[in-house]
Amino acid sequence: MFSYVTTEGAVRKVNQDSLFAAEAEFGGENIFFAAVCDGVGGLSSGEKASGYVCKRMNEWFAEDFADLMRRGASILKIRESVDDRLHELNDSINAYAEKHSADMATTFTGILIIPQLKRMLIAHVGDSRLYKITDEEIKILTSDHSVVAQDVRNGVITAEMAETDPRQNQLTNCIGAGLDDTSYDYSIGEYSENECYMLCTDGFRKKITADEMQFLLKPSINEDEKIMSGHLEKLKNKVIKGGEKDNITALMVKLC
Amino acid sequence: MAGSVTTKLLYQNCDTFMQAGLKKKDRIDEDQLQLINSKRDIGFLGIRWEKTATRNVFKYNVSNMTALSEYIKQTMPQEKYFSIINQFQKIYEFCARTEGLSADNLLLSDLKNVYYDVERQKVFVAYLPLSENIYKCSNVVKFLSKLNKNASITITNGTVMQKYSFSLEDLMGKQNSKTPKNGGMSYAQLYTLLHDVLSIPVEDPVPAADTAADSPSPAAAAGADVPADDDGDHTILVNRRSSDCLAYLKDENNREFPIDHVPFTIGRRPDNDLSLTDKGTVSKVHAAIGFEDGQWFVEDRGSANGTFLNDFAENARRISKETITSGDVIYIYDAPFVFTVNSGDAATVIVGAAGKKQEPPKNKVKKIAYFINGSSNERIPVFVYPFTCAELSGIVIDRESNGSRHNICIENISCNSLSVEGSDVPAGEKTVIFSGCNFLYHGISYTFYEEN
Repeated sequence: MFSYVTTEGAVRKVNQDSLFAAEAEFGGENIFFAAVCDGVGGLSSGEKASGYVCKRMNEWFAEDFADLMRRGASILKIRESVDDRLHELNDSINAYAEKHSADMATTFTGILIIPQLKRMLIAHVGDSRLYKITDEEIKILTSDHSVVAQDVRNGVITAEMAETDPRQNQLTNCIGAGLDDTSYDYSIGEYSENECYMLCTDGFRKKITADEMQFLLKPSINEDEKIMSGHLEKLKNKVIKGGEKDNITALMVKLC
Repeated sequence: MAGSVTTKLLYQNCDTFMQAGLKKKDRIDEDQLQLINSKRDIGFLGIRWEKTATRNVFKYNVSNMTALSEYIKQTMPQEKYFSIINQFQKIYEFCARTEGLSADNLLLSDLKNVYYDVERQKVFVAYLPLSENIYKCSNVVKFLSKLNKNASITITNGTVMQKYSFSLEDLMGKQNSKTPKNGGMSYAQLYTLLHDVLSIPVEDPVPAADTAADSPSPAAAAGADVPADDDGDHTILVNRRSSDCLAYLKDENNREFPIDHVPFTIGRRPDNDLSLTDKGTVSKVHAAIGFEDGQWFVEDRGSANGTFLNDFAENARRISKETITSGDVIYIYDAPFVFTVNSGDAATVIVGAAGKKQEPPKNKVKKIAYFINGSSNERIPVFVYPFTCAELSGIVIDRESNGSRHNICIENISCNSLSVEGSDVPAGEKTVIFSGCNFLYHGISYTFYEEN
């Protein structure tokens, strides 16, 4: 069960964020794959990059992944395949950007839930985030690839200082932007029923607190997709009221 | 000719005696025996001589005393430890300076032959009143080294402790068949070490609780130029100095190699303290860092390509032995290592941890990856590949280039429990890991992340 919200926001005219969610049935169980991408770049480059990545990853899910599942591949093999695809996308975005002398880049945060393997795979690059929300707590499962977050990790600045740091939008890693041979983060984990996972771009999370998110997105009160989308809308409006200028995108899934 | 003395403990009439067995022909010196027995308060165990047709022994009354070997197992403050050494220094000095006595007759072969009177807070040493000192039992350096090795000390001043340990190790390293009986350390040297090098001042005798009333200052006979002559019943305060001296070497990648003992050898062979196994320009044993008379030095150990200090060029001057100070750059041929003496840390640590590396200073070199220990949440930074660390011993993390991309591999060299994302990696095999990858090392979970 999933729902999403995405908007260009109050200020920007275009929405450079992209997202997709796909479900596939395999052996009587539903595999779920979703991701959000936050495009970066002038003119239309940002949304091109994010949209392209979403499209190609969706293709990967329908073709390569389906093939892997049929062959009974392990989660590590699947990860490798995602990694290969993301690097391939990185190369083609770089090639396109060079040809059109544009700046193009996108973040990518995706979650793939495979009930057959009882595992989930998280792929992540950039400053979008994946939250795990239960009735008790909310937890960030990804680490931001941004200058500010890196400084926090290295103990140069504190988390409080990070909130007001002027370098908010500087990324250390993403797909595109002329980067080559970078590595993306993956984590393989276990999941259980009655958990919510929420993917969001940086526009969604900066003006609201984690507690506010958890309050509205916890599994017990989101009984169906309509309620879920109502809660996401509510949070989105709160973000806009809070003065967010960026595009706002969030996608959540409740496992049941 | 020079043998060792055998000792054993006897219990007679409610008293405990340490008995030192002698050869039958050994001739005792009665004057010495009397002198020692009259100067017990210096710190000599009272002697009784028993000779029969079958045996020739000295008996030392050690009732109500604790063997030093046992006493030092209890954790004591550093001040106390040095006060024991200081008392010993005085006994040693008294022996050496008093006519008719010989410091070579002190029975120091084993810590259990030296006694400590807890009530009077005093050290007592057995003396062999023999006319010929044919026993090998008075090696001061060995004695102090054993003491240093076995004592459990709360360190309040790491500098002093480290300097002291290094000086002893340095002297121990020089031990050979030609070393004099005292192990090459005179009482004056010991005095200098304690008071000048370590700056351990001797205060006026502080009256102890029971004031050790047996002190008519016989030590005055020992001469006047050493102000430290008293009955040994005093408190020693360690002078806290700002300069601490836990030293370490730092390589180009800011990896740190703590110098926890001397001589600290550097070379290609894996048994070196710093082994540079992958460098062909480094000799098997290339150079060593030592500590002598309160000074650090680096010496070349006959390397093929040479060791250089602060300047490396094709025609730069090779060094053979040079003193070094913090900040000097030692070149093992072309590989630079910055020698750094850590700044002061008066934190209390147990002696076993004395060699532990201190928190590294802020790194200027960018870390390229890191591990997070799942149980302690500690971060282990990676600055260079191939990466190894003590916490993850037996495994190597390396980077492999793969066309336009790279792989990070974990190789199990000699760890008997390693699994990556749930699949076992036996010793001798390697597997690809990725940023965000979890692995279990001896049951502890670690997550690996790359920084870009």
